[in-house]
Amino acid sequence: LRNHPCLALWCGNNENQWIHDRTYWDRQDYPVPGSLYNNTLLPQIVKEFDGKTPYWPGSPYGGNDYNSSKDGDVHNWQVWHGNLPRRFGEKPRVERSPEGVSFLHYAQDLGRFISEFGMHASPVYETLRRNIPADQLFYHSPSMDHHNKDTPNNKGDNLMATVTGLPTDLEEYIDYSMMAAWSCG
Amino acid sequence: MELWVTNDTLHEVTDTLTIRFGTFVESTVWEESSYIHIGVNDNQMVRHCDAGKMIAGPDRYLTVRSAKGLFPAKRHFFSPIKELQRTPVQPEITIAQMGEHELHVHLRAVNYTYFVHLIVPDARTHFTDNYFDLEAGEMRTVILTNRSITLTPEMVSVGWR
Repeated sequence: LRNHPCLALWCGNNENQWIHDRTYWDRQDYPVPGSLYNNTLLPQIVKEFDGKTPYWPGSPYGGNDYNSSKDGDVHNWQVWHGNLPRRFGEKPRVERSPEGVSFLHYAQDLGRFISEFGMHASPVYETLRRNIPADQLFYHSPSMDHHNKDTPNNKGDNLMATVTGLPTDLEEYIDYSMMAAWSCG
Repeated sequence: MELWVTNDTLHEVTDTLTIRFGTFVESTVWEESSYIHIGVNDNQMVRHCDAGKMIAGPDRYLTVRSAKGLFPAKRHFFSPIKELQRTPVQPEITIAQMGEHELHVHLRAVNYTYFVHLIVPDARTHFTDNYFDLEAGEMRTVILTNRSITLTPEMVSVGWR
């Protein structure tokens, strides 16, 4: 990969440091697993075998906390997941109300480099028809919810609530979830 | 309201942009054009409009169009979709068969039509465009191709909101 013309950055991992810090926010005695790889071995290896492309220890990384808007890159999961900005040592706060997860929060995002953002939406009906049993083709059916890996799997309802209102059937769910995601782009 | 344009190309860009402030029932409140000249990898605020000039509301919207077609038309609503004061009307649809594997779908919006999308129940179908808005009176032709199956007009469904 090192000779690929689109290679801009080598990154140690996805969200390892950030999620570890959010999960064990009150455990200063518990270092991030994999730190030897992310902070020592991988940058040495990248320097040795590439030598030109920058290395970044994780994504997001930089600042106080790892997802700080004031340094490094940001995963904006205030939208969709309701994660509020915080600093190291502070208990993570989550606001999952319709207003709390609204795409309007993008206007407040002062991050230097937004490396993840967005929201999920339904695929088109044809994809659902191929993957969901016919008697389960309705909004929040057990099979539909099983295929939705959001936790809880009705979390996405709040994304639609402020934009389109809640759907009443599958056709509306397909369109409304796409329209909500469309608005956020 | 401010309109910013970013030129992320490696050559200078000149164009004329038309900004239109209108209502959903085909009336233009105001419209004006701006000539732009933007350097390589530069961005500019090309238009500033005082709030007094725009009485925003759920019955109106803003569009900006490029005379040279340098970008697709952009639009801004002033309210969430669910609060817009508009009456969705089915667009006029004509489908022309262009051989076994190609259809031309001609669309004309009667009223402002949001989230226009075409669906064919075969994932191998290619659309030249899909999921867009049409202003009242606006026309668009979408070309559908599928080299794997025979396409017929009956296979096409058109959705909108």
